[in-house]
Amino acid sequence: MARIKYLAFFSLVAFSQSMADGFYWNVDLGMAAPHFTKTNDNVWLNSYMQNQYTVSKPLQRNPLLGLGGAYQWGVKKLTLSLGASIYTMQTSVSGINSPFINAGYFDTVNYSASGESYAAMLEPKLVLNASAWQPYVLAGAGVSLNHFYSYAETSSDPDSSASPTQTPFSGRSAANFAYEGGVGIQHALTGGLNAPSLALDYRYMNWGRAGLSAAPMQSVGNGLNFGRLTTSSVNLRLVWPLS
Amino acid sequence: MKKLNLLFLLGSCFLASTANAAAILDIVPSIRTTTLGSNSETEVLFTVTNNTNQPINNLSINPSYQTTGRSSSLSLQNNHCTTTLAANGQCTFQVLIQGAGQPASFQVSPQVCGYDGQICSMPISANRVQVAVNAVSTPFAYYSVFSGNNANKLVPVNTNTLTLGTPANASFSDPYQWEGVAVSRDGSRVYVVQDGTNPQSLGIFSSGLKPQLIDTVPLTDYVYNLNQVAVTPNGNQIYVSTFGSGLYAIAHQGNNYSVSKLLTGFVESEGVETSPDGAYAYVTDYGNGSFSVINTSTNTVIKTLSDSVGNCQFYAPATIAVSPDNHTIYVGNQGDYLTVIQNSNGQFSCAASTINFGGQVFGMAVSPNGQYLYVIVAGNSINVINTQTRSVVDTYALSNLSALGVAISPDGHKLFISNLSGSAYMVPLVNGLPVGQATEIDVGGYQGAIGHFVG
Repeated sequence: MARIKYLAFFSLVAFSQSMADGFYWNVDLGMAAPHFTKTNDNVWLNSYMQNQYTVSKPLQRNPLLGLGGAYQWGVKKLTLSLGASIYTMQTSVSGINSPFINAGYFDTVNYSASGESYAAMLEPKLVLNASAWQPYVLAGAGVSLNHFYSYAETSSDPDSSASPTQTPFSGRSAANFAYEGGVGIQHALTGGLNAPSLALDYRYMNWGRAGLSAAPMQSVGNGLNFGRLTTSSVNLRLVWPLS
Repeated sequence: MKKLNLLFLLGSCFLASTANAAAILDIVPSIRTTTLGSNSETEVLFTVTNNTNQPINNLSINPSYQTTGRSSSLSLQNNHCTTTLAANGQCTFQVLIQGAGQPASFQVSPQVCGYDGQICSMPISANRVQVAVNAVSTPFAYYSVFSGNNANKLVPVNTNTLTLGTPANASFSDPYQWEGVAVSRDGSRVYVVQDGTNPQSLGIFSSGLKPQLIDTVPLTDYVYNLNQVAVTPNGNQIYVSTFGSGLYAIAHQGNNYSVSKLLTGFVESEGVETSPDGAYAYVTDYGNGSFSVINTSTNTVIKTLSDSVGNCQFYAPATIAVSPDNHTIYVGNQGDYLTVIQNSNGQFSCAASTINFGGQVFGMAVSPNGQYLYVIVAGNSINVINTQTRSVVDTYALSNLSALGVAISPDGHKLFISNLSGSAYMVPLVNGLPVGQATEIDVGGYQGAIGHFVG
């Protein structure tokens, strides 16, 4: 333990000696591809009927917005920053509801629901600043809030017998543990030690569990679960000094 | 190549499983198309089948689900799908369709839900009912009167007020002759057998309060009287039976009516009807005891069912009625029974048993929803047949009448009776069954109207 404290102290001293300390704001604008880890959910709606909900995988790209701040230390060819960011993303989920799956294969309906997610992350970041193009890695952990709502159904085939339910699932908001990891590259926009910079990175984010609450007439079981919501995103990050 | 084969196999399995998908609740109507006037109404019977192996409780029905018509003019009645539908069980309900305020055509596809709305089904596209609304404001009954003050007149009767319109000149034989009358599907034309003229002819009249003679087609090949008349739904083919060996096929093109063919080979053609889709004409041979099917495209006989062949029994078959779905044809025999003919995709055969009565069978009419068949028996009663069970469910006395023909109003609420020895009558229907007193209609003489004489 003493050795770890010593190394940490040594690192901070080393960075502070080579680069001016400072606070920075960062703004993120990204394009995220969402993914749900639970693609099949069999839900009992009452003691007779179980429906199977299968998430389909249409190509979906949703804007991702982020805002944060960080304190960074630089030394020679390395910069360490420790900051916090909040993120938000609008998304949706769609799939196929195979009703009464416990009794056979019947005409299906398509379903969809809207979602919005928020996350607050503590974000350490390590930058290699040996040249004008500076690669970096970052990680993050924190809390998220996933809110899914507006569940709706439409017939998969308008000629078929399938008809939307009259008692759709209710909206649900759930707080979760969230984490992220990413790699990117940044470049200073002007000269000077604490110059603003623009970065492009790839980031994997796990937003935690997502789903819907039970339908109003659902007598057994819970709502509809989509598992954990994850995204792969490509982001532009603008970083500039506080002063 | 093996990979491709595997992909093909997987694809085939997927397609097969897709094709096997079925309805949780099958919702099947008694008819798939219907026509009604803008101020009339009709009922359609729907049968719901639970295709699962589980009971479905807390049923509810929305009769106007996804209709393209005026939803407030669609209502639920006689609903027997109210509580729990057993596994693989069935129940029925009716949708009352009112023509008022509706577009010219629309679709009816009621939604049935179970478990308090948690699962819902609607009819597959083939089972959604197409409704056409014509602009004819009021259906009329047209009586061919052969005696009395209005002898040799075609007398229109407003089916709502039961008041007479202005009779049109015609010519009928006297006395007690059957005089076929048929109203076109859209209610715009009335076809009348005129066997009192020389030469005999088919008269084509306009419809409504004041019918006017539009055209006359001489039918001169037989000295025997003409008999009954039927018209295809599009009005392009008209068939007249003759009490002789021929059956006239009359073509209508533009404003012209002319005999296109005389079908021969009958001993005595009598009953005649057309299928709801217009593909077939049906005719009975009274003298030979047989039933024939005619392809209306070619006007050739494509099938004949004879007495004592297979299950078929005929004795002096004289009248015909056809179910709205064209799956069942009823042949009324003067031998006191009714022969049921089944049509399975154009394959015609006789049902195993007949429906027997205590007297001769005369005119017949099927309710618009296909649920009931009304049969004039012995001229003095209406026997009501449940078409599903093929059993008599009600008998309504027509005392002191020589009732001949019966026709039903498009809304299915009134039966109109022609009478060979007195006034015409209207019998009210409630839920398809005759209820209460018949109303006398003085049409100014005895009538021989038989066929679809209301429309």
